[in-house]
Amino acid sequence: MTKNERSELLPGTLEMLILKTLSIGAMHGYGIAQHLQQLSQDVLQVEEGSLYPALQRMQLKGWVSSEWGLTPTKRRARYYKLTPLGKKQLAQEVAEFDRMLLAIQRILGTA
Amino acid sequence: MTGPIDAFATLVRRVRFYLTRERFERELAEEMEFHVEMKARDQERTGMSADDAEWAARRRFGNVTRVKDATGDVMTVGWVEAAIQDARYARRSLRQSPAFAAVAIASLALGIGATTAIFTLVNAMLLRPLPFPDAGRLVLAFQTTTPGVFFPVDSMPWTYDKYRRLRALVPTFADAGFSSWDEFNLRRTGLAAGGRAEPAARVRAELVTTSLFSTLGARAILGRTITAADSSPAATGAVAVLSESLWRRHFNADSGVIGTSAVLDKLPVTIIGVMPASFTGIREHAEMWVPIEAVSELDSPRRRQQLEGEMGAVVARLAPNATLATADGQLKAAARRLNAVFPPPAFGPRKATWSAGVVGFAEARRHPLIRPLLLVLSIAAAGVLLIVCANLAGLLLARARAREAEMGLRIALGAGRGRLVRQMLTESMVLAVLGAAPGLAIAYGGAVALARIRPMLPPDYILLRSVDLLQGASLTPDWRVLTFAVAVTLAVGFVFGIAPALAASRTNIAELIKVAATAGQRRERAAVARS
Repeated sequence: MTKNERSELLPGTLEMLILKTLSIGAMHGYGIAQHLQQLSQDVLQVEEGSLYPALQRMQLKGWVSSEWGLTPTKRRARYYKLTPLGKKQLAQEVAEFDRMLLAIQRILGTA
Repeated sequence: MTGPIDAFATLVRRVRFYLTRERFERELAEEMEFHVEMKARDQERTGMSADDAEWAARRRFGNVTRVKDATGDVMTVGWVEAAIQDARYARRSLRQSPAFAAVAIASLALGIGATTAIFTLVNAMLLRPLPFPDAGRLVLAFQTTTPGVFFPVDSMPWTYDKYRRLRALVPTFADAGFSSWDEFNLRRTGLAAGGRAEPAARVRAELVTTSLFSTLGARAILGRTITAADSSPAATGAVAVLSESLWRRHFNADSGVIGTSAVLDKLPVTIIGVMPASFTGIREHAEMWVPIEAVSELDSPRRRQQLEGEMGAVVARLAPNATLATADGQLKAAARRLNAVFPPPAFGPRKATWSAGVVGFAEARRHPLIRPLLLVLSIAAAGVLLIVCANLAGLLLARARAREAEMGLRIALGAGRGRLVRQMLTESMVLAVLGAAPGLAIAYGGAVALARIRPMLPPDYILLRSVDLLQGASLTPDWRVLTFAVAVTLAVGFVFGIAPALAASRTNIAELIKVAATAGQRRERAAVARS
């Protein structure tokens, strides 16, 4: 993929996307990165390292919890899981995002 | 949407981060290694070489150090980190000049110690409430005679007889007690057979009404205090309560002293309790308390008559909603009525009348000289502290000149002026705190020494105000003294540190570079001249 086919992530949406990814199941950091890359069909550009500060922030706020475990290939990795508080936060952020999207579309529609 | 519980949980997580910092960083490094390895392996599967795959994976990941920092930064609290750094820097810089540090800490210890010592005395004599429950409601009733012809004093003792009549006349006194004073020869009796005869000791006893202990609300550390039930003597005589010092001196601090008997002059008594060291009765150096009602029944009729006229003090506890003014008014009215029954002695042609008044019990015990004396001492101590501060500010300013190069470097590297001031202030605060620890020791020692050289006024019948306030008072630092010491330490650290801090932050780099450059040129020229 060439660079100009990728778009920058909207600010503030990284956490929402991570929460959504984790709502499917527990995952380690690399798994989340893979998931985001594949599902967005490589459109969304995420510097993979930036996942970690975001995950740390979400842990601090109690939306996500982490635990060391073993991968299917018996390697040690840290798995992240959504907490009930995180689920609530996800619902809120998705609702907010939808609202904002609708507003933008309305403006563009009448432009 | 964070409530207080969530905020608390967040705080707990931050604290845990600080405690397990090393493990956090280790695990984060491991996690990121894993991520990059997995990515590299995936790239290899698409046909890249091992080296290229790893390079691509790292590139995609981003700057590892930056990610580590960013992740760590999420957890830290900005100003705490800066403060910890400042403290470490201050400690290192003080270690490098031990002579300066020693002088500074010694003078700080003296200054803080002297000031806190005086405050300990102020606290013990003026601020600390009496060790009785609801001590603010305790008052002392005094009587005066007008015109003040014969006794040039402001308070006259009541007679026991008058006290008994007074109680009915002043309803705002919820409870009251009378305390008179006498000296006796105390001899223990009923000791185990084979014990040698104890010599008699001269003790000062207070003859108190059985209501006194309940008025004050004082409690014994051993046994019990005198209650209303003790007003008529038992077969074994009257009861008696010992002071803590008497118990130690003559009864060997024996916990089995309750129930033993003794003889006061010819009066048989049974010991029923021991009072704590902080309880010193109404008079100075009272060592025993005996119920006056029981004594008057036991003794000879002549003594009984004497007791009616026994002179003493009246202490009362005001009713819950009564004010001092109401009690005062009622007492004055009562005194007027008593004038009829007990006409005051005539002093020549002028006719005198009794009057009376009421004053807070704590206030009544304070000699009028105490406040001015303590004020003078406080001013002296404050003077010492100011001199210490000025001295230290001077020392620090001189030191700042020597550290100009270091300050210049820090400014050149981008340190803001505020940061430099904070750094220097941290240094002076650290010095102040280091001086406060020995300072507290000096304060305690100084207070004890000052207390020991206080003038001992002889016990006085009439002037209640000469009561020794430090008798039985504990001089160990309580919360007030400690708070004062902390406040003084912080204030001192700020006062002597602010001027050097501001001066250091104003270091002019341009000047420094010029000086350094000319010094460098001189060295070069000297080197050339030598070759």
